[in-house]
Order: sequence, then C-alpha cells, then structure tokens
Amino acid sequence: MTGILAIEDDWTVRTVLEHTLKSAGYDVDLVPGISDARQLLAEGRYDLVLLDLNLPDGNGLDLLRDIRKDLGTGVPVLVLSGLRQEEVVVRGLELGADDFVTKPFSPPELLARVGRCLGQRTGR
Amino acid sequence: MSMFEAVLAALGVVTIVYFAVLSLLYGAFALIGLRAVILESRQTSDTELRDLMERDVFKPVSIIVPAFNEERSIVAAVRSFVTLHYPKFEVIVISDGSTDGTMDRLIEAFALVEEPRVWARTLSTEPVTRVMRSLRDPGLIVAEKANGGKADAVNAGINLARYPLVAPVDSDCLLDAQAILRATRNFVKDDSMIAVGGTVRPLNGATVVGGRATALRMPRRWIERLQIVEYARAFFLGRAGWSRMGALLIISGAFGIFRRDAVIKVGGFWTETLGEDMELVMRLHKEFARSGLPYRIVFSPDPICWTEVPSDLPTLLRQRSRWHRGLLTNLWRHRDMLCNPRFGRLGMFAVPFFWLFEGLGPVIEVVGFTSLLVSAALGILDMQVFWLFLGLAVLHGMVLSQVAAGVEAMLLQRYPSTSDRLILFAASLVEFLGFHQLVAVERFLATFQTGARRRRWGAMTRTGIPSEPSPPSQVAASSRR
Amino acid sequence: MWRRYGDVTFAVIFSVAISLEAIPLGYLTWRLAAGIFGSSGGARLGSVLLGAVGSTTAALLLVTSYVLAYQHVSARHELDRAQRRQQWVARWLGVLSGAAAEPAGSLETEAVEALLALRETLRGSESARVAELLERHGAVVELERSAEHGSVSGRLDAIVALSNARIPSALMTLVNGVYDSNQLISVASARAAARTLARVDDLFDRDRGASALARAMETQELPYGIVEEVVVLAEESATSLIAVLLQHERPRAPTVRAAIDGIGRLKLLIFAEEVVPFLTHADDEVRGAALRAVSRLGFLSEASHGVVIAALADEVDFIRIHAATAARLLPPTQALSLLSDRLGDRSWWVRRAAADALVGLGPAGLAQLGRAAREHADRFARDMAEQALRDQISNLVRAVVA
Repeated sequence: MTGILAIEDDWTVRTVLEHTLKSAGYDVDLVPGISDARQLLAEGRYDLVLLDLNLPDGNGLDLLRDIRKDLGTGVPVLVLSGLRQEEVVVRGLELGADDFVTKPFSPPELLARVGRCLGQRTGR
Repeated sequence: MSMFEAVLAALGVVTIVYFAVLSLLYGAFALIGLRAVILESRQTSDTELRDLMERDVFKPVSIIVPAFNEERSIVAAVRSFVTLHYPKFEVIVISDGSTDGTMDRLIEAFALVEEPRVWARTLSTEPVTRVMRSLRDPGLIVAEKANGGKADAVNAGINLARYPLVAPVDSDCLLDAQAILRATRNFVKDDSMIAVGGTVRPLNGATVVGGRATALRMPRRWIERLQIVEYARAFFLGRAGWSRMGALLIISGAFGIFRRDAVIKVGGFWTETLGEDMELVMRLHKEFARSGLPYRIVFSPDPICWTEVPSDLPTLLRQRSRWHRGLLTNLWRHRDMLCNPRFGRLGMFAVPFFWLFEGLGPVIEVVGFTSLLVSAALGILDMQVFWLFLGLAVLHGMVLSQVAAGVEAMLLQRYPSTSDRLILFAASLVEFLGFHQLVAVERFLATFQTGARRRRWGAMTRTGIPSEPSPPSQVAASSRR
Repeated sequence: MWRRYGDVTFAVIFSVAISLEAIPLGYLTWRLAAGIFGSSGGARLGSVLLGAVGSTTAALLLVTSYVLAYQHVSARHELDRAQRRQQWVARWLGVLSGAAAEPAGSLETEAVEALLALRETLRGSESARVAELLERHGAVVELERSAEHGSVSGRLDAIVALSNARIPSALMTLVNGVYDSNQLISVASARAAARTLARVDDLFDRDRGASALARAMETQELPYGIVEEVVVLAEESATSLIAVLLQHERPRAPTVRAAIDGIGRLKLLIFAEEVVPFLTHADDEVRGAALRAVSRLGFLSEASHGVVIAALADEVDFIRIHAATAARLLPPTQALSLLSDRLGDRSWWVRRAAADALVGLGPAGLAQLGRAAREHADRFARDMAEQALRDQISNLVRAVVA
C-alpha cells in the first residue's frame, strides 16, 4: 500500500486529509508538527510527504530543506499551504517541492496532484 | 500626647488612607483592564490572522536584538527569531561590545560573513565596527559596535533597520509564533498607532521546542512562582487598564513594536537611564501631544513574549532596584508632565499616579508600616488594629493576584492543572507575606541611589534559554559582568 | 489565543468582589480623612477594619473558587467539544461523499462549527455544498440574528462565524453591521462583508453589494488599513468595490489611497488609466500610493512619463522613493540616467530605492551601477552603488550555499 506522511496542525484539514486519502486507498500517517515528522521520516519509508508550511514548531520550508538534504532525499513532497505569496511558492519549489496546493483546496484536485506526484516518481 | 506620638498617629492615618485609596484605584484599573482583555480576546479571530498572513496586508518588521555577553543563549534566541512566522521581517542583532564569545557563536551558527555596508546614521550611537550578514538566513544581520549600553545598541539597530516597524526584543526572550502578527495588526487597523506593547510572561519551567514555549509547567522555586503571579497582575490588569484609559506609560523593553519614523522623530532611546523602555514611551507621548498629531500607544494582551525571570533572590532584588532607579530617573526627566493639563489624562492622572504610588510608593510603604509597627509597640495604636491592617493589605493583594491568575486561565496556553492553580494561589499569599515587603525595602533603598552613573547592562544570573530537548534542570549559571 | 467563554461571568464576579472590598475601604477612608475616629476611636477603627478583612476574605474566596472551577470545567468541556466537532467533521465529509445520511432538523453548535471549518478548508463544489448545508439547516439565519442582537462579544462571535461562512444571503446583514456605533462591530462586519462579497458570483448582486459596502465604509470613515484590507479580501469582487470607491463624489483621501493600493496589490490592469489622475493628487499619501500602484502594475502610459520624472524631484522623501521604483518603467536610457542622478539623493532611502530600481533593470542597470560606483560625483552615490552590487553578489553566494 502507498504510504503518505501528512504534516498538518489544523484539525479540520487533518480530518479532511485523512478522509480523502484513506477513501482513495492510501495509507496515511498524520502528525501535527515538524519534530514528530522528523522522527517518522527517520524511522519509516514514505512514498509521499504532504507538508503544511505554517507549523506550530517551525517553518515547513526548513523541514523541506532537511528532507532534500538527509531525510529520504528522493521522496516527493507536496506542499499544502495557505500562503500564496509568490516568494513562498518560488522558495518552496526552489527547495525541491514537487507541487504546491493552496488552501482552501478541493479534495479531487488534491488526489489528482498526489497521483501525479506518485506517478512521476515511479516513472523516474 | 507628645509631639512624637502625634506624628506617629498622623503617619498611621496617612498610611491607612494611602493604602485604601491605592487599593480602590487598583481595583478600578483591574476592572477596566479585565474588560479590555475580554474585548481584545474577541476582536482578533483566527481567520483574521490567517488572512493577514496570506493576503499581503501586513507591515514588514525589523526585529532588533541588543546583546551583551550572551554567548550561552544568543544562538538559541536568534534561531527562535529567524524562524518566526511572519511574511516579511528581518532580524538585526547588535552585539554591544561583547567581550565573550557572543560574536563567535553567531558567526559559526549562522555562517556570517562581513560585509561593508552603507546605511543611514540617523541616530547617533557609539561606532559600529562591523556589519555581518548570514549566508544561511537571508533576513539576518549582525552588527558589532563599541559598548554603549542597551539603549545605544537598540538605536544602532534602528539605524540599520530597513522596515517601517521596529521591534526591540531582549535576547533572553522567546516570542510566541503569532506575536509579531498580532502586534502589527494594531498598526494596520489604526494609522495613528505609533507603539504597541505586548504581554511578558515568565518562561521558567516551560518546555521549549524549536524556539517556542510549548508546554507550561510550574517552575520549582517559589521565587519564580511568585513572579508568574506578579507578571500576570502587572500586564493583564495594570497595563491593560492604563492602555484602555489612553495613558500607557510603559512598554516593556523585552518586547514592543514601534513605528520607526516615530522613534526617530523623538530621537531614539535615551542612553542615560536604566529604564529606557519607559522613557521612550513618555517622550513619544510628550512629543506627539506637543505637535498635536493624532497618535496612539497601546498595550495588547495577546502578543506574548516569554522571558527568563531571575530565579534567585539577590538577582531579583538587583533587577528591581535597577527598575526603580530607572523609573525615578524617567519621572524626574519628564517632571514637566506632572499635573500638566496639556497632556490630558496622562498629565493629570497617570503621571501623578506614577509619582505618588510607584515612584514614592516604597518610601511611603516602608515609613508608613514602620510607624504603624512602632505605634503598636508603644501602645499608641491597638496591636489588633495593626494586625488587621496587615491582614487587609495581604488579602487585597491576593484578590488582585487571583483575578490576574483567572485571566491567565482564560489563555489557551495556561498552566494546565488544577494543582497549578492552587500553587498560584499559595504564591499570591507568599508574595504579600514577605516577598512584597522585601522588594519594597530594596526599592526604598534604590530611591536614594538614583543619582549614580548608568549606561550599564543589568547584571543577571541566568540559566540560558534551554536548548532542545530541554532538561529543565540545566542550571549552570552564567553571569553577565 | 483566548478562551472566549466564562470571561464575562468572571468580570461580573470580580465586580462583586471589588464592591465587597470597596465599601468598607471607602467608609474607612472617609472616616479617617474626616478625622472622625479621633483619639478614642481605636476600637471603632478596629471594628471597621475587621469588617473590611471579613468582606475582603469573602471576595478572595469568591474569585478563587471561580478560577478553580473555571480551570476544572473548561479543561473537560473543551476536550469534549473538540471531540464532538471532529466527529461532526468526519460525519459531514461522509454526507458530502454520499456515504452518510444528512442529519435532520436544526443542528447543535459543534455541527455548525464543523461546517464552518469545512467551508474554510474546502474549495470548489464541495465548499458550495457546505454552504448549502449551512443554509438548509437554518444556521445562517441563526447567525445573522446573533450578529444583530445581544452582547458585544456574542455579536462579534457571530460576525466572525459569518465571515467564515461567506454566504451571499447574509451580505446585507453584515453591511448593516458596518454602521454600528461600536467600532469593533463595525470593523469586524466590514471584514466579514468583504469576505462574503468575494463569494457573490452574480455580477448584478456583486455591484449592488459593493456599492452598499463602500457607502457604509465611507459613512463610518473607516481607517485606511481597514479599507485596504476590505479591498484585498473582496478578491474577485475587488474590481466592483474599487470602481465604487473611486467614483464616490468626494472620496476621502484614505479611501482613495486604499483603493489605489488595492489596484496595485491585486494587479488590476483594468484600472491602469484610472490611477493616472492620482499621480498628481494634492495628498502626499495618495500620490505615493498611485506611484506604488504604477510600479506594481508595471504599466506607465507615455503621457505620464513627465509626472514620474517630476516626482523624482518631489520635496517629500517617500514620494521620491516610490518615484524611483516607478522610474524603471520609463524608456531605458532615460531611466538609467535619472536613476543614476537619484543615487546622489540627500535621503539614504531614495538612494537605496534608486539602486534597487537599477538592479531591477537587469544588465544595463547593473552596468550603470558599476559606472556610478566608480565615477559618480557624489561620494554617497558611489557607496550606495557599490553596496547594491555587493548585495547582488551575496544573493548569488547565498543561492549557491543554500
């Protein structure tokens, strides 16, 4: 089964993510912050990371940088964020995010993007 | 009745009246402050804050961190500032002629490189010897300058600042993730806003993760617990009340946000006082009231700044003595505001209040209580009256402390258990049974040492901001000068 | 962040406590000040003090027990509510995907909160269906009622909820709220109305709503920052709103400024020509905003070249700053020489803006900076040019290091 790690602190978004991804047949681990995410990333293998940027214990972009540097470098990362400023998007893509979904989001669109990120990776 | 006895009796009456009036005033402020906190808690919603972040309606901020010999805590502090959630800000660290490894630690941690740089020297300060920029964090600038004291360092930071708002923050503080956002909100809402102060809460005992205070726990020492109650009372009741009356005289030096042009207009921080934070606010009031421009200076209870408070008595007493000397210097410098109708409520009420109840308070308190005690011992005053009066003073203080603790309980991030509440209750009892009196004596003594030279960084025995994961018992003390 | 309940009760309890303290203290003060206790009054003084101690103890007990009870109850209550809300979110998601049946009748608070949260989280057709659910179950009408009547805090809560719900049918209620004499209600209503306006699709309704909101903001003289925020929050509907704000007979300077800033921020090229007259407006702030909008739009008509050139020599510093930024839209040779002149401006900030504008002009601008660094007659200009070039290098280095 395809494993997704979702890092998100807002409880509504979490429930939506869980519901959407599970009903599409993915295996989802949800964590509320960066430190938990680091731990899980160090322990397990995921096929995709869904990353919120505005987290209670830091900036998601920092985690993204670390993912690209040491923690499972090749894993596709889909950034899910309410920040829609150009600079943030550019910075995220520069740091190696595979795609960007802005909140509020539509579940079908999210699934489509998740599918594409996963597909791209297996195609590589 | 002899002359001596008559004087004693009169002093006793004055003391009791003084105390009663003060209690009534404090009660009234507390009520006004509580109302302000309640309204404030409702006016800024989550949605609103998210909108601010996401839609580009915000004002960029320059965070200014003055530091003197802070090698132990500076890296953790700066890291917590550069990782704040805010769309556009810079962090300017000013090392004020540090003689320890402050600069080395920073250079190492943030890959600093020296950079010849030109900037506007609007405020005159001791010379800046080098300006460095981080290769890792684009928004970080570190400047080193000749020693000139905290106010001088902040002024140098203001010169280097690029953004319209400046936020001087103590290097031993941690800011809440939303603190800058919440504070700057006031500047967006009101064009005439020139300064906003936030709440300061003791960090002692809290768990720190990623430069943020995450879980609160009661510190182990009573002296730290007392200060939790004390800070809550001062900010949630005192400053909230003054702010509501449009007569806020202090914005804590630990964390405040100012409009840069306003600070520059009045000439920046004054370097010759120990209380440069209060002095600036008084001067802003004065200059803006004089020029007739509309302006506002407010306290906002939610931007929260966590600070490490002294955990031993000598350090605490030194701190209070310094604060008191600063207060007196400032009141004296701006004595023309006292009872001056030109400054409205500020001149007719706030400044006289500060003179009478804050500036001279310790003198009246110490002399008054001593005279009551002597009267009781000599039998001029019924011993029972003395004890009742003392009891009343203690109970009154406890009521206010409990109200402040109640406001704290309304914060989402509060001391979590019911037993913590009981400890806070006990702390408010202990505070007025000895601690308060001790501080009053220290301030009483400070009153007579105010002429001494200043421009010093306050000596503070500190444990340093715990680095993660934090063993709370990390107590290797380092002391500054 | 605060708990938004139990605080008003706390204030009431505290008022009672304060009165308990104040009455004996007031009596004591009055008697002492009037010297009524006199020399033989020791015993009477004692009994008044005893009364004061007694009532203050009662006050202390009252306040403390409330705080303890509040701590205890709120902790349990919140856990419970959070769980119920989460269950409702899951249940509504089921309803939306057709897996669960829709509940009948009116909804409990947590169910409405869950819908409001979903409305904020979802986009597209799911979000529209959440709005339908809110309306169908009478939640919107209920919120509108609470937004208009009751205590200030209750009304604010309802307005914030409506601002999350963004239901077009509630727009006029919110616009009416802007007229409220309480500044908090007025501002919150304006924001909520703007967010709602962003979701009004019908063009006719949109224009009507925009003009009602604009009128309300003008009547209430809302400050610049709020008007600006409202414009930005209106998203797609900002065009209607800006049009109305600018057409107003005699618009206030803060409003014009906010509208023009909105044009720039939202890059509404459709208004490019409307900005032009404001480039020569009497109010400095408005002129500054117009120059800023021109820069952000990246469009400067030939007829306005002269205005920008004149603004480069304006007396007000911040006008020259914005003019320097806008000057990069002038014909290249002209821009290079004018900006090079500005490098020698008396204000540091103008010099900086000119240098940044030159950097923005690409290779030609950088070359001009290089020349200025060597040859400019003004020492400060040379310094600034050098600094700007150095910044470019450190940016490159940083990109490599990161």
